[in-house]
Amino acid sequence: MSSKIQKIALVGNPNTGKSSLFNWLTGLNQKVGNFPGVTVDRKSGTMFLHDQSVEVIDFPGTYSFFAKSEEEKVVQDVLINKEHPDFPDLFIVVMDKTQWVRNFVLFSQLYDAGLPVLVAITMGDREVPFEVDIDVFQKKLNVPVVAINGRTGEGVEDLKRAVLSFENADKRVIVNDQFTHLLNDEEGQIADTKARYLWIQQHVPKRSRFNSKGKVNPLDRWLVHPVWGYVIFVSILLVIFQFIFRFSTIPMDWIDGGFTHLASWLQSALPAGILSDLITQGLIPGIGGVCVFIPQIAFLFFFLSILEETGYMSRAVFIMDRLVRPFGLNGKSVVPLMSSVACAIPGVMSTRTISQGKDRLITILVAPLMSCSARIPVYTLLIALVIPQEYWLGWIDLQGMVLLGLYLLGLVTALLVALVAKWLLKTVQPGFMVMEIPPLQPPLWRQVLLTMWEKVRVFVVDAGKVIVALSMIIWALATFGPSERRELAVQRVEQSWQGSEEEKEKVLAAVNLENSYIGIMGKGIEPMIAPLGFDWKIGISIITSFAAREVFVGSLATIYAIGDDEEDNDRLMDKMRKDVRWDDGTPVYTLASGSALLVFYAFAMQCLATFAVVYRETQSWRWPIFQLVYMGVLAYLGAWLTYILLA
Amino acid sequence: MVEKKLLSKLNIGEHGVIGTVKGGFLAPKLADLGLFEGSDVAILYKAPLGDPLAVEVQGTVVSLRREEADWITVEA
Repeated sequence: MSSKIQKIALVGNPNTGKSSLFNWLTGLNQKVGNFPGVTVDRKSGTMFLHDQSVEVIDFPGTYSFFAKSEEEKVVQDVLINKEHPDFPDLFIVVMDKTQWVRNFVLFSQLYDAGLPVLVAITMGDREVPFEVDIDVFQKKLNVPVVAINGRTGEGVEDLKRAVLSFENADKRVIVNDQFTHLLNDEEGQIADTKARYLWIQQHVPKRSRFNSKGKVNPLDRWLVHPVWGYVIFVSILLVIFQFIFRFSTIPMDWIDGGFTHLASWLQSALPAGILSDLITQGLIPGIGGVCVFIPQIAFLFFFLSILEETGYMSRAVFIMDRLVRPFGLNGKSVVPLMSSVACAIPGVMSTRTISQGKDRLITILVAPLMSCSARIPVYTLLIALVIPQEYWLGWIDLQGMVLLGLYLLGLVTALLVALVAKWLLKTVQPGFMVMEIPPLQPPLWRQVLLTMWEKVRVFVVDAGKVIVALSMIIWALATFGPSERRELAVQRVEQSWQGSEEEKEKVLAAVNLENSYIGIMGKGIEPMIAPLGFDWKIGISIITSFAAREVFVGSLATIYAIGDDEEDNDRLMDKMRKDVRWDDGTPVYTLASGSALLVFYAFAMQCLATFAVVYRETQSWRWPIFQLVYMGVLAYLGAWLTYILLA
Repeated sequence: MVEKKLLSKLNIGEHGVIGTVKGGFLAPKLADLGLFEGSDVAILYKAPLGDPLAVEVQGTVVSLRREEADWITVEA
């Protein structure tokens, strides 16, 4: 038996179990892209009906045909345009058993528009569909209904059978089949929506009023409590941070080590030459630089999707909204910003849940100012180098206070920039936050794992390309240079060298970097960064560490001829401490220049992966470039002020 | 006697029937979620400072900022 149906769309209100049904239908045969021109995820997948494969598109959660957000606009565009490439042969309207009075509004619009519809009612484990619900659809409206258990997948096969035997029956009109003309008539839209609610209330009279008669789930009393609500929220964040800071370093070290081994194995296996260098020093470390973020992204989205799935996230948004609103943010910005304290990459990726475009953009723009874990190696090195190990009042550790100060600096600056951006990014509509709070429920683990998988894949595939390409450019600039100049410098070392071979290698590495294009650039920008107290060695390290902040330490180690594979900060610090300026013989690293450098790293973008992810999430180069520039200006001015104040 | 109040002025646990909804561009959005003239609403809980607040309407829970709730009057 073969069906005429080749393309199916899943539509429905948010929180109806639509995504979980999508996952049951398609399994891992999914891909995530964007709807053209907007930053709305377009999830599609393949479902198999006997011998036939059918494309399933999971449309964004929608309350009504009358679109109020970018997501809903996508659905509206498809509904009114039969020529749209995503227009399906069949719409499956997903409705939740406990909320279907409201879910009915969207269904009735599709029905009145004469579109081919089939209803899937999702429900919990011990629930059964009300007869009366089924009757409304099957007897009154002549629409097939299938009950689905999102947890066990029960009913999914029935749904497939219903798709196969689907016949577009004669339709009646429930409320109004001319509603698509109301697109610019707000009063008309409200009347239309109301009429749809009233129709369903009349046809299921028993349960039309309060479900819980105003009773609150006892757990909710804790989650939104003026004291305990915040205690619970902070505790959850602490657990997440614990995982990301402590446990994700374990797999990150494996990945790091794995790629290092792979590179050195290939280096010995491949014939020496430029191609071998390109692969082992450019490409492999570039891919490694993408993969090393996977544990953090996976851990973070594991937790975030549990919070989403259980419905806790909207409680957190509820209690945080008022606190961050003065800064032009809304409650949904809080978790992405907090996640950015671990790593801005998953932080930026998690802004997808902020449906208001302006609030989302502001959150993305300020997220990398939050002090992420890649800044820690830089902070540790510099603080140990220039901040005296003293105690205020006999017990407050000065070095610790400086570290805390840098975290606060990031947070406060992020909030201030958000405030400025709120004024600059004027939009017609004022911010609003009318949001549904779904019932609490245990997480669907299958769903959690699939979300993790999807986010990791999106990062590796979409952002990964940009990261590998740009990191290879940086590698090439740090490896190659004007040949004459380099050869001369190398010759000088070779001729005068008297130490061990091993030491010579390290000195040669330093000479090579110094005379590479990046070395020349680093020296070239010295006059620009001299007012901040930086010399060309710092200049080179700033340029190379655009790849990632922690590269700063390794790059300095190479320049000081220590070898960047040593985990030994002491020798590096020793050399840095002794380093003097070529012009006046004063130390390079003083309290002033070191603090200026700390402030510089607190503000500067210095992260290729964030740059690539912002590009992916905003679908334009404009915002990542803007972010790079504004953070760079902030870093420069901040470092300059610090240097002047402390010099 | 029926008393008219702003939705935001209702205390936790109180309920009433929606009278008018102003809200401008937001009114259709509020209607989608069941907040239109004639709907029953009850206040479930409020965040500190009474903002935002969570109401039950049409069998679901919706959170509103106080300024948004100020656009809605109820007959309690």
